[in-house]
Amino acid sequence: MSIRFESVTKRFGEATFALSDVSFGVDPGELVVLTGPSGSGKTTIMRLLIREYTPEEGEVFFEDQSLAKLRHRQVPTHRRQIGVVFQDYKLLSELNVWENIALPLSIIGKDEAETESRVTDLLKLVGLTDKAYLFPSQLSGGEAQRISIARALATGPSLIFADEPTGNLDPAASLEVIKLLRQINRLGTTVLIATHDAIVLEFLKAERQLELKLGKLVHDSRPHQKAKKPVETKEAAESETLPEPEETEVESLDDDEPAEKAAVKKVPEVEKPKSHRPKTEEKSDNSKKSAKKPAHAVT
Amino acid sequence: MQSLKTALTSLRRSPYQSLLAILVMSILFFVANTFAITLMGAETVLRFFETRPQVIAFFKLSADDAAIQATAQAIQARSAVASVKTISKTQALELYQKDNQDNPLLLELVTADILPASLEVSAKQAADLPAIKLELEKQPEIEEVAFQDDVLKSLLQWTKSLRWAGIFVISILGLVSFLTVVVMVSMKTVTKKNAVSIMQIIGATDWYILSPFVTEGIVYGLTGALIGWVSLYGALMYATPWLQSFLGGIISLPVSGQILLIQLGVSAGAGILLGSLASLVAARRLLRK
Repeated sequence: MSIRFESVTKRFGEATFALSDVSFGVDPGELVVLTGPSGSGKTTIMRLLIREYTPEEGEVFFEDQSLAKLRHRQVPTHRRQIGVVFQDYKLLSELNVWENIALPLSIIGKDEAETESRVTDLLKLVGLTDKAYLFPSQLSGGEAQRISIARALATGPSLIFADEPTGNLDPAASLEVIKLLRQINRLGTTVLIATHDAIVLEFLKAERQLELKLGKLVHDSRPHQKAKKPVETKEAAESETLPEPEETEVESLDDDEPAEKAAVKKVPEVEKPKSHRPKTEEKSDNSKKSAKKPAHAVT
Repeated sequence: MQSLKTALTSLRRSPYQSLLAILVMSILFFVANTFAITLMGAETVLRFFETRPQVIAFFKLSADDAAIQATAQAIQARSAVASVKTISKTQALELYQKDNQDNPLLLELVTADILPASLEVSAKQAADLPAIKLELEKQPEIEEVAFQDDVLKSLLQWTKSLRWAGIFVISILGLVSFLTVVVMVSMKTVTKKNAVSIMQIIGATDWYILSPFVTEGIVYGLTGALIGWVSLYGALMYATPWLQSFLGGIISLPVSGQILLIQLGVSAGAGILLGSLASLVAARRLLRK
């Protein structure tokens, strides 16, 4: 299991519960929608996952590793396995698009040639190669969010957590971003989308949904199941117009996560249940191949 | 390399803050180097006086050569004594004649019989002179001991005061420089707070975040140390002719290149240490927030 929350309670102060006795699991390669009104605890889940918070009770596991047992110096390495996408994009305003995407690669010490190739691939994936030298202030909301997604993918994370990724976007841009996230999921990366955006929820109604209310998990549309790709609606399939990535290969860019290890870990789990695979008729040869690989390895 | 680039960009973007930090550092190192050179000079002057005959013991006119030699050997045997020079009556007369060669009247009246033999004693350290004086006074054949202790006392006092003043001034200036860099870097960290939180989320290590700030502190310290040293070197070159005439042969001028290079190395090291520590203190506070 990729993510496991076991009776997790997070309090701020004595009486304010951000999360109360929350338990759920997410399998590798799943796309899960976390929904619920503002203040229901969606962002707290993200912060617990990146070990910004630690729970008062219960335990959070990421790839079978208890996050409570992580040492302070292991936290950055853990965070590189999770790409976080924020509502307000959180791009660095003094860096241009290219530099923003390259930042995580610089953090893990990648050389210039590798960074260049990687950033080019990610820009292709999000369809913004022509915006590489613009600054965040010169981008539209949708473009900024796609750059934020590209940055989240840079180090080859096994999980993307998108926290209200469409909160600042118009409906059209929202759909573009959500389609991109779903495309990334189809390439093998686990994706969690926290949202209360009705358009997004409607678009992803066939996906697994976890509903939070006042810090409690009140509904899980597919509890304790291996991730299964739902049969998609024809409309949804037709609306997939974003450019497909050219090719993918297994390659973790993080020095702490060798490529072979990532491949061994990811591929079997994604391929195991047949129902997990996306509809083949929608997939090009390239994307079929890439379904075995994490999305972060687009080359 | 990346952190140096980031640090230099940061310096360029806030030139006045950077200038202030570098200026304070430069003043610190100029003053510190000046004190160091002055103290070295004072030590040399002190050593010069210490190696001169500092205590002169005059024998009784009745003292014979054997008694004079015995007294000289007894004094020479003491560990605090650097050298003992015996001046016989005849040598005393020669010295007298040399000193008064322009005054024949004085020369006519004086013979070797009325001049006492003497011992000129030098100590290894000026602080031992009073004990040597006491020892000489105990000798039966010695009539009088001349000891210019007031001159040495004030010289010792001056050196000591200079040393303490130096330590005090350098400590205060060091603290001011440290705090200046802390404040400068803290101001910059505040503007980077958002960027730092993003970097933490995407997996940056503490060191990745801290290194540009630490590098910036090192640039302040190193630049300040270099400017301080160059200023002192310039001032020293300018003042060398005057110092040479004032100090005579006591200190050999210009100051040797080796000393100046050692000073440059120590200043650079201290600058790096001070700058990096100060910026580390400031930047670590940002990580704790």
